[in-house]
Amino acid sequence: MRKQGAEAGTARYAMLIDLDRCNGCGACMVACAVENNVPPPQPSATPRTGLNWLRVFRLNTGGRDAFIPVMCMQCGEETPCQSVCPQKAVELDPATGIVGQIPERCLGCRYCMAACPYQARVFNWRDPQWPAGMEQALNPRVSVRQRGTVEKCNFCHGRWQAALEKAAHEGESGPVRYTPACAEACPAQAIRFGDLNDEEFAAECRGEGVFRLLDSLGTGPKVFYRTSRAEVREATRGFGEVKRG
Amino acid sequence: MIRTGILFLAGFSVALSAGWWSMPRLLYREEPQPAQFSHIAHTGEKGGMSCEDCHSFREDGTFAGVPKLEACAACHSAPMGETQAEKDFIARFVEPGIEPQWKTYLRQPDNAWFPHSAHVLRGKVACEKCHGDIGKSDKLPVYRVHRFTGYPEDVMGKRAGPLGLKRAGGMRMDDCVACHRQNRIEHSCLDCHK
Amino acid sequence: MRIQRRDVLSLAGGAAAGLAVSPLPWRLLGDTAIWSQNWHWMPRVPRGAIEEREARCTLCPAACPVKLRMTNGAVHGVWPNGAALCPAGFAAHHMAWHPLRLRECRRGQTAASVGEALESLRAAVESRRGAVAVLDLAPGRAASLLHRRHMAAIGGAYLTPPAVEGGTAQAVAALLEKRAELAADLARVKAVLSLGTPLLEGWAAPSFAVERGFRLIQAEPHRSRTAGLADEWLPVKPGAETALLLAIGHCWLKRPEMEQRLGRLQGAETWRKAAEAMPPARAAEAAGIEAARIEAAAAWLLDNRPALVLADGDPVGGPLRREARAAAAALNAMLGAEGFGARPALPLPKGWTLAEAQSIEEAGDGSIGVLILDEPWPGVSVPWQLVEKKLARDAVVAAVTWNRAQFAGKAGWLIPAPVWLEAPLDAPQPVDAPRAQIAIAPAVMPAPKGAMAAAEVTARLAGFETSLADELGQLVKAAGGAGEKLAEAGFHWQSEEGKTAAPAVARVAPETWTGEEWLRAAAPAAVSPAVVVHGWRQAAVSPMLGKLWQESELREGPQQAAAHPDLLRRHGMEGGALARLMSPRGAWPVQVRAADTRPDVIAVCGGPALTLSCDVRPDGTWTLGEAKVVKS
Repeated sequence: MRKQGAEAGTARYAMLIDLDRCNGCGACMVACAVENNVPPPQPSATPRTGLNWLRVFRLNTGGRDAFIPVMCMQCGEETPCQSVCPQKAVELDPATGIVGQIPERCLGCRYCMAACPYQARVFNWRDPQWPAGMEQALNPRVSVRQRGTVEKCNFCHGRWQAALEKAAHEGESGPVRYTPACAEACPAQAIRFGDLNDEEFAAECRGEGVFRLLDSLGTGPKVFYRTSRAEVREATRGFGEVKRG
Repeated sequence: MIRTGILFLAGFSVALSAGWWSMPRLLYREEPQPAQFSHIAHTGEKGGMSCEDCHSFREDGTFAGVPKLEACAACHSAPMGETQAEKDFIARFVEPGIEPQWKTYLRQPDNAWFPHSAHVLRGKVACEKCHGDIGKSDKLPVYRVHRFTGYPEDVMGKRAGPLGLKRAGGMRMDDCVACHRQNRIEHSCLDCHK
Repeated sequence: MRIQRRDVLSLAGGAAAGLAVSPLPWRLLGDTAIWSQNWHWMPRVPRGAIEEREARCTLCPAACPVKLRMTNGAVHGVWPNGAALCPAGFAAHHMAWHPLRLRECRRGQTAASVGEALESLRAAVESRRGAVAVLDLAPGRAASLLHRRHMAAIGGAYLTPPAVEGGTAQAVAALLEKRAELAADLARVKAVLSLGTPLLEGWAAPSFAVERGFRLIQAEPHRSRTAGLADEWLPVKPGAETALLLAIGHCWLKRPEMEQRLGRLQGAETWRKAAEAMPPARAAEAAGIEAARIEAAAAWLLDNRPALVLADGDPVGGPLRREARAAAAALNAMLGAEGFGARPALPLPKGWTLAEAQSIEEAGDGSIGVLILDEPWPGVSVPWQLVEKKLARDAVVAAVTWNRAQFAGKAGWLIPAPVWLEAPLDAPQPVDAPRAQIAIAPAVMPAPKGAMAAAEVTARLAGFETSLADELGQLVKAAGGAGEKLAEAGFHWQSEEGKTAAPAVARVAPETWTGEEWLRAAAPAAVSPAVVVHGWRQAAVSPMLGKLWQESELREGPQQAAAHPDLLRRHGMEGGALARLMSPRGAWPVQVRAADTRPDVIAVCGGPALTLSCDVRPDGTWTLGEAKVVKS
C-alpha cells in the first residue's frame, strides 16, 4: 500500500538488515562484486585500498559474534557526498531515492570519500584487471570503471534498469520491484529490500529494535538495521570510530 | 612585407583546405558488412514483413537487435530468390552454421543503457526516427568506423550544412539528451548510464 | 631568392592560423578524448541475451541448487535457486578462468599430450599389474563409484584420504551391531559438542538447523568462525581434546541411566576405567578450561537430546588424534548414536563389481606402482608424506587436477581436469544428513582441449572406452532417472528421509583397546605457543574470494595467522605485521592479526599447499613439525 503523499511514480528504495540473522559469511560481498563487475583483489590490495562496495564488519559484542554489512546508506537528507562533489558526479535521484555515483564525471579528487561518514566509498587506484578470459564472466548489465574514479553501492542499478525494461515491455507503470544482489544472495535472508513509499515496508523500518547508523548526523540514511540483542546495538554505537583498514 | 603576407596567406589557405578536406574524411575507414542485405526485398510487396518480425523483444523485455543466424536460416535454408548475395550468404553462413558478425551502426559504449522497450513500447518512438528509413533500403548503408575511437560514423555524426559546420545524424549523448529534454523526461544520470 | 627565417615563420604562422580555423585540431581534441575513454586494455562487457539455466553447485556435499545467468555461452552469475548458497558458490563459475588453472597436460615442466600420458600410464599398468591405485580426494561421489568399478576390473586399489569430514561417523559405525554407513543427522539433533569441526563452514544443514533451535558448543584452541557463532566456545588446549571428552564421560557416568547404558555395551570396562581416571578437575588442568565449564557442558548435552559429539577435525589442519575420535565415538555410543542416521547405499547398475574402499593409511608401504590422483575441486589435499610412503620406487604418479600448482613437482604427469560446468561432475554424499544423493551438474561450457575427468582416465586404464556422461548415465538409470542428456541437464536424486535411524550400538570402544590408549592421549601438546593449522577449503575457488580476507577483515585467509594480543606483544609483533611461519617442512610468509584466541596458540590459516607439506604423526594428526611464527 503506497504512502499517502508520495509523488506518483516515485520510489524511496531502502534496505532493512536483520543483524540477528547475519552470520558474517560474506556471500553478500562476493555476490555484490560479481554483479557489479568489481575486479578481484590485486596482490597488493589491503582493506584500505580494496574495492568493496559492501563490507561486512565483525562487531565486538563480548559474547556470540555479530556482524554488520555496511554499504552506501543512500543518505536522503543533506547527502554529504553530493554536497562536496566539484563535478556534480553525485546525484540523489528524486525518482528512486538512490544516490547515484557517475564514473563518467568523476575526476577522482576523493573529496566524497572524506565526506562520507560511513566510509562507504571506494577508489579505483588502478585500472581493473581480471584473470585472462574472465572478462567473459562480466555482467552485461553493469559497465566497467576506469582507474581514477570513485565507486559505491547504487542499490544494484543494473537490476533496477532490467526491471524497468521488463515493466515497459509488459506495459506496467509505477515504481518497479526488484532485488539487489546482496538481498538475493544472503543465505540467512538477513537483507530485505523495499520501497519506503510502501506503507508496510516503511512500518517495518520503524519497528521494534530497528536503528540506523550515525543517526544523529542527520544524513537520513536509508539502510535500517534490526536486532533484538542489546549488546549488538551497543557495539554499533562506536561505528564512527571503526578504522577502515 | 608583401612576401611575408603572401607566404602567410599561402600557408593559411593550404592548411585551411587541408583541414577542411581531411576532417572527418580521413578519420574514418570503411569496413564491409559480412554480407549484403536488402531490407526492401523482405519488407516490400514480395516479402511483406514488418520490423518486428526480425527485430523483436525477448521475454525479459530486452531487444534482440540484429537477428541471429537461426532466424535467417529458418527461411533461407535454400535460396528463395535469384540474387547472388543470397546464394553467397547461404554458402558462407547458413550451410556451415557460422554466425555472421554484423557491424552495428549505432553501437553505444558499454556504459550507456538504451532500453528499446521504454522507447518503442512506452514512448511510441518510431523505428525510423533513430534508424532512418532503412526498412525501405535496398542495400545496407556503408559502414565507416572512426580509426581511433572505434565508433561508427553514424554515432559520431556527419558534417552537414552549407559550410559543414553543423553535425547531422549521430547518436551521441547530446543527441539523446536533446530529445529527452524536448519531451521533458530527464531525472538523473543513472537513468541512462549503467 | 634567399629563404629567410621570416619566410618560414610567415608560412608556419599562416598554416597554424589556417589549421585553427579548420576543424582539424578541434575534431582531433574531441576524438582523442573519446579515445582516452576507451583504452584497449579495459575489458568490454559481453553483449547479448541473458539466459538462465538451472544447475547444482557440486563443489561440496551440500550440492546447492543454483541458477546460472549466461550470455554468449559464458556464465556470468551464479545465484541461489530456492535454497541458500555460500560465498564460494557465487564465484564458482570463475574456476574456468582461475589464474592457476591447468589447461594442458604436463610431464614434469614440459607440455605433453593427454594421449602420451594415457599411453605411459597404460604401459605402467601393464608392467605392474595389481600395483595400480587411484587416490580419490573427494570420495563419496558417483564418480567415486566409477573409480571403484574401474579398479575392480584391473585388480587395482581404490584409496581415500584419511577421513576428516565424516571421521566421527566412521568411528561410530565401527561400533555398531550391524554394518552401516553413518552420517550426522543435524536436522534432528538439538545439541552438538564439536571439537574443531567447522560446522558452520560448508556444512549446509546448520544454517537451517539454527532456525529450528539447534545449539552448538565448539571446543577448539582458536576462536574460529564457527566458535564465534556458537552458543559457547570452549578454548581447549590443542591436543587435550581427549581429556575433555573423558571428563565428560566421567560426569555422565554419575547418572544412573548412563551407567546402565554403558553396562550394556562391550568394552565398557576399558571406557569406565579411562573415564574414572579423568575427573573434570584433572581435565581442566590438561585442557586449560575451568572444571565447572566442563561439567556444565556434560550436563547440557544430556539435558538437550538428541545430542551429538563430533570430532571430525579441520579440512586443512587434518583430523584430531585417533583417541579423541574414539572418545567422541564412545560418548556417542553412550547416547545410543542418536545424533546419527544410517545412509542408504547408492543404487548400482546390475553387474557392477566395485573394489573395496580403503584408506590410504591402510595401504602397504611401497606397494603402489601406478597412482592416479583425483583432485576434482579446489581445497582438497592430503599430506604428501603419507602418499610418498606408499609409492614403490620409480612409481608413476599422474594427478588429474584442475590446478597446475598443487601437485607440480610431486606428480610426474599433470592431466587437466574439467571444472564445474564443463563436464557432468558430481557432488559427494552430504556430511550432515543421513541420505544418499546423486547431484550431477550439467556441462554448459566447453572444457579446455584434452581435459579429461579422472574417472575417464581410470576408465581408459581399465579398458572401458566410455565417457563420463555414459557411465554416470548408467548409474542414473539405476536410480530411476532417464540417464540420457546428462551433460545438458544434469541430474539430481536423493533417497527418502525418515527411514534413517542408526542401527543399535554394540560397543563403546574398538575391540583392541585397553584404556591406556585414551589416557596416554590425554596430555596436551608440549610446545607453547602451539601452532594450529586450519583453513576454509573453498577459499581457493576464485581470486574474488580474497575480498573477504585481503580487502576486508571479515575472515582469515590463507597465509594469515591469528594470535592473542598478549602473545603478539611478547613476540614483539603488532597486528598487521608480516611474519614467517618456520617449520622443518618449510617456511611461509604470514600476516599476523590480533584475535581473541587462546594466549598459548597461534592459529595459522592455510590452504591445500600447507596440508601437502604436513607430516603425519603416528596418532594420525597432521603436523608441520616444530613450527613457530617469527617476526619477518
